[in-house]
Amino acid sequence: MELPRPHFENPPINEVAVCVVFKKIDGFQAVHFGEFWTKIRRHFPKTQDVAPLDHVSTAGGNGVEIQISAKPPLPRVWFEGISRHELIQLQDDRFIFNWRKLEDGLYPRFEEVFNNFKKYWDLFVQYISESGLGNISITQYELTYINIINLKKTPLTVIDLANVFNGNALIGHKDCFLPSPSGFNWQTFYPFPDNQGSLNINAISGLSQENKSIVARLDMVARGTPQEKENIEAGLEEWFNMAHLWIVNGFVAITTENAQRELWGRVE
Amino acid sequence: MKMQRESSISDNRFIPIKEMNIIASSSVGYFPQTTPEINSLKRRTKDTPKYYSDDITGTGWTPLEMKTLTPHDLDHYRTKSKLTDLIQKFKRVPFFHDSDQCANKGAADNALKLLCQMDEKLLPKVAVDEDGEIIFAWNVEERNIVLTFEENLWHFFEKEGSNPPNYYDEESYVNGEIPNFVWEKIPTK
Repeated sequence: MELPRPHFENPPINEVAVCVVFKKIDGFQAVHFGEFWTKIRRHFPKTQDVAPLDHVSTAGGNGVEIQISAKPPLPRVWFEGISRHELIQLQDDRFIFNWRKLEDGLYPRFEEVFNNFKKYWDLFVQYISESGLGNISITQYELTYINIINLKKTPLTVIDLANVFNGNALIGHKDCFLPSPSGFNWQTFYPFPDNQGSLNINAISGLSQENKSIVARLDMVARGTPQEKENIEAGLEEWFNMAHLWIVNGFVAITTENAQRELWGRVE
Repeated sequence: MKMQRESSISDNRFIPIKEMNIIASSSVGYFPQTTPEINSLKRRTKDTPKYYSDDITGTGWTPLEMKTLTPHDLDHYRTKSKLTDLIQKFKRVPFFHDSDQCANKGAADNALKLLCQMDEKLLPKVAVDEDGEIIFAWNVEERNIVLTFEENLWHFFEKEGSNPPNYYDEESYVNGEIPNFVWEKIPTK
């Protein structure tokens, strides 16, 4: 069954991250960050060292990993794009391409974000191969959308925020013993078909840091492991396209039609 | 030697503290849209607010302050939002019948910068004067406070009971904002 492709004129997306996790590359050293940078420096001129990220399993939990090694740990390195919309994050077991919304309000659509990810991922794979570091063995894919849901007016109660979400049983009503909530943090997991991973949806109320307005943050994270396929590249594209469709359709399912039309300009 | 424990579903669904990764903003370590307002917020918040950022994208680009919002809080934010809209309007719409003068843009921006930080402060009455300056006023019990914003200068007046009034006239902003001793004189909620 082909999934529909709903479109929004003004989606509440604040961040998109396309991530590939792979087995640690034997022989990968600090110098390789610099060598790879020379290939992308023109478009990603600034770098920064940050702490490496932990592994998060497809079920959404952090794995606890203890490593004893004679080598000092390698950092995660940020390569910041000229436009400030884009960031590449590299560590010895992960490659992430991030896009974020800025004041210009532009969102280039998933296809463009993914194509840019693919361009630099292919460069990285090529660099690893040419450097004699062997082949990359992918262990996990991850596609993340972070939405900031900001109502047109300051909500009267937290339920106004909650009402953007569809049919949540936690919303109090007049016959309910519990009063109106003063905050929410809902986390749900939905398995993909054919053991392709899962979609983790987390909706949280709070205050935005930027202007202290009352908002809900809706995180949608798809995680999955590569399937046994002859063509790994095709498998990667297929998985990310599937994950993107699940995120978009999951967003439609979890938010109300009214919010989709009034707040984000859903187009048929 | 490498030991790894795989997480089971039961591990990760019901351990909110671990899973929510409530961390202080400073540990996110990156404020890409850092503005003077944000710097002030960090400086002026007595207890560092807790930000939700389980850093799933590794960027800290979308921090969210975890705060339960009571009806009282919402009233405060609603009023603040109205005042923000009002000051924005002062910038583009003339405020006297017989004049086409709008509020001074710099003065309005300075006022908005302060208003943005007023989560724990009592919200002021807001006005604009004939020179386009923005005025914040508080009247709490026997205490009257007036803070006036110009583009490059601020004025402060305080009168409490029968005590002689305090004046600070035509003072310059410090790093683009009023100094802390004035901030501390603004009444809290």
